[in-house]
Amino acid sequence: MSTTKPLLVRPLYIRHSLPVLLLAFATTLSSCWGFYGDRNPPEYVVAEAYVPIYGYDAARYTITSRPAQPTVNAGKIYVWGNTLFQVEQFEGVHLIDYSDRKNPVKLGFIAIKGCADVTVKGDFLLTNNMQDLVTIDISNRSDAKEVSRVKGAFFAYIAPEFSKPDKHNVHYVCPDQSKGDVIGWKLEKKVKNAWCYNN
Amino acid sequence: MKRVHIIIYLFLFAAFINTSCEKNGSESANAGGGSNNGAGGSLARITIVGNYLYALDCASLITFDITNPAKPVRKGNFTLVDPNIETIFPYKNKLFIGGRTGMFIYSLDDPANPKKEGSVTHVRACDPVVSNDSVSYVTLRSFGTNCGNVANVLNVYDIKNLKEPKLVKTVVMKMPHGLGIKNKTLYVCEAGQGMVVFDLENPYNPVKKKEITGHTFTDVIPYGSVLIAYVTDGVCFYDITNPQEPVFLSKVKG
Repeated sequence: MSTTKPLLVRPLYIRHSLPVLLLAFATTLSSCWGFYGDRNPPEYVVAEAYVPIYGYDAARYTITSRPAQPTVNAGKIYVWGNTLFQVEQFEGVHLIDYSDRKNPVKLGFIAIKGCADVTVKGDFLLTNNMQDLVTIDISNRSDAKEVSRVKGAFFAYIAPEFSKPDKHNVHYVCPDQSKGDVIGWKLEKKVKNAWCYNN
Repeated sequence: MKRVHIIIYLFLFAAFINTSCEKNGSESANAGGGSNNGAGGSLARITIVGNYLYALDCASLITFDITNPAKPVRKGNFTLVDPNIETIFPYKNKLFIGGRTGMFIYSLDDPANPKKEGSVTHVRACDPVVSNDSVSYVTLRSFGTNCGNVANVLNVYDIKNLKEPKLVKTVVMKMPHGLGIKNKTLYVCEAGQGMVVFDLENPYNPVKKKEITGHTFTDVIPYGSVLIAYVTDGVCFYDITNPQEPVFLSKVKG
């Protein structure tokens, strides 16, 4: 295949720069794409793109208390009384007791896939688990328990590992959460509407 | 007729008591946002105010009634804010939303239905906003996630008229990120460049007092007499009994 072959197999009626602009726009909003629904830009085709494989991965929706663990990718923080909550990006929340401010102690870790933000109200921690809003009872700091889940409360909260292929400089079809969890990717030719790009 | 008046007066009185209580509540908590005893940072996308949880999701602001946190109930209308919103900061009965194209102020007079009160859309604010009664501080940066700014600055807005926030001062920064207010002190994180402490004696003209280095600062929560800093490898605690002289206490990392 010629390497000079244009990206757009079918240029359509629009000017060449428009698809590029739309693509740039789509990339920044990739996870929000389903949200725009009927306002999708016109159809276009790329020579090669990754397409999501949908399924259901129960492990992603299981919340568990674990012993304290190292902070690898430190995330956002929330404080309630003498406990500080710090997100481990897309993996969960560290619980830190800082009642002795000079010697704060990690109390434990709550594993929550996709977790990006954390808030607390009394004995309850509210956060996102993938696209669900979950409430976790943390009255017993070492035995956190899920007490409620609002399925699909959010559009935009997807951990990168689940929202795009593990390859760079590739086009991919923006995942549609209504079809399920992305459990893999397959490379296909002449793909329609692969508006997302992983640079 | 008289009876109706009395009822109205009683109602107003109750409302007054109610609002003054809320005021005390949020002030004693701290200016870091949130309510009761909780507070989040300026980079948050989810926040809690009283019995409501607000989240930024794509271009919209969504609301949940969490009176019973074990049973969140979706509330309010679909509130479209802007395609590029990123941070949410509560102050008293308002939400300040920061996005790549501006700052948006929502009233929580009806907490189940946040209502837009004002905005500044001519700026390209990449990140967070913190506010008090009459002034908002917004950081803009020219690097990082598609911010598209040309400058690294701290912008100061007069918000006495919420409908028309007015830019009153621009302070040149190095790498501004999250920020937090404690009384008359403003803390601005500058990533690897440290954290800058500003004196807000004149809230419209922050004066640089101090620079704290040694960590890569992303965001801060001033919480009573402690300043909690989200740094890239964990979290640091500072004593801010004297807000303008933070004293390092400890760090949790690894």
